[in-house]
This record gives sequence, C-alpha cells and structure tokens, in this order.
Amino acid sequence: MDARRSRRLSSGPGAVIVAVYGILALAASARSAVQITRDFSAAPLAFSLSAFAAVVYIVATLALTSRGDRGYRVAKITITIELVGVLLIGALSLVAPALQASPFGSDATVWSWFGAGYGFVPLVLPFVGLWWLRRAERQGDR
Amino acid sequence: MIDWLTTTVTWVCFAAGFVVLVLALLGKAPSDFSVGLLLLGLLGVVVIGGVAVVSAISGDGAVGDVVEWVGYWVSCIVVGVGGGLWALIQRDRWGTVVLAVALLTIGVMVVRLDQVWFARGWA
Repeated sequence: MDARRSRRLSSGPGAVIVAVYGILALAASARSAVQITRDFSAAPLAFSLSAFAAVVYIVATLALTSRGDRGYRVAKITITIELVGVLLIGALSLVAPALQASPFGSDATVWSWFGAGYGFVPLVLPFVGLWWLRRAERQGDR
Repeated sequence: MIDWLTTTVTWVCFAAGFVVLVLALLGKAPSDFSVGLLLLGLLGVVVIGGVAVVSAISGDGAVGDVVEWVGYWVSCIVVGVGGGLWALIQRDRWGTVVLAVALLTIGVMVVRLDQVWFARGWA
C-alpha cells in the first residue's frame, strides 16, 4: 500500500511536479548561496528568507519522491509552508520596505512579488502540489 | 561574451522546448530526437561557457557578478543533465514533458546569463 502510493506521488504527471520542484529547489539554493557568500549583512532578513525557501523546496522535493506515509505527510507540511510563504512574502514585498526589492533584484527571494522573478511558478506550484496530494488521497491511495 | 550566441541558444532552447512539448501532448515517450534536442541545448550552454572563459582570459570578462554567472551556468548544466537522465528512466509522455520543462528552463537561464554578464536586468 505504502509503496504503491509513493510510486503514484512521483509517477505520471507527478514526475513533472517533482521535476519543477527540483528546479525551484536548485534555483532557490543557488540564489541564496550567491546572496549569502557575497554579502550577508547587506540584507540579512531577505537572505535568511531566501535560504529558508531553499530548504523548504529541497525537503518538499525529497518528500515527493520518498516512500510511504512519512513522505506524504512531510510533502503536505512543506507545500503548505510554501503556500503561506509565497502569499505572505509576496504581500509583504508590496508593503514592507525591507523586503521591497525588485523581483529580479540581487536581494529578492524566490517568494518576493509572489514569485514574479520566476514566472509566478512559486505561486502556482503549491496549489498544484496540494491538488496532487489530495488527488492521490481521494483515489483510495491513502 | 557574444550577444548573438546567447540569443541564438535561447531561441533554440525555446523552439526545441515547444517542439518537445507538442510531442508530449501527442503522448510520445522520450525519443532519440527529443533527447537530442535537449543535448543540442546543453551543447549551446557548453559553448557559451567556453566562449566566456576565452573572453575572460582575453581581458573581455563579465561586467556583472562572476559568481552569479557561474551559478546560472552550473544550474543550466545540472537541469540539462538531470532532465536528460530523467527522460532515459521515465519512458512515457511525462518523461517528454520533463524534457520540455528542462529546455524551457535552460532558455530562461541563458537569458539571465546574458543579463548577468552585462550587468543589465529586467528591472
């Protein structure tokens, strides 16, 4: 049962979801690595958020590919964090000066301006991810 | 860094990405042709890397942040190699979609390679 579900989470259309998560994990990690090695003190809040986002994407990607109940639960938690993150940081980047970097600026996070710098993929992806998990659940997979 | 080179590679990646996306919509599994298109995009990125090194040595280096540039370049290679390997394992239409996503992603990142090199941006 467990093996079957884990197979489904990352098989079929799930493969594409996992691939896009992997790309975002890579993008967020690379961005935060460059930001932190360059000059962390320039914008500690934004850079910390950047690193946090990177970790969330990495864990979500791994959870979507791992097996069993735990992978499923971790995926659900991290994707929810991601959704809250992109909505919160997206909204804050509109009003809070400390996070008001340009979406393409050197001190932006993947979540700034609702992920505009990444074609709004960070905004769409958590909805797709949660829908995918629910679908797996409904299909009697859970 | 040559402008027309990054522009060409970008359009090759976008065009190839859409062709592969159509193949995926037709339900095709990854083929020599679609994986070959990704290799073509990867080859473009490798050539850009070579030209960048030669430019830098000959004193015509990046105006922008070199670390950020290398980050994007390495990411292009990782996405390309990763997407290609994935398609070899996942031999159904979704493997083809992964190929298309990899190509389109590389296309966007090559645009960024050009922008970061010349320290110009979208905003």
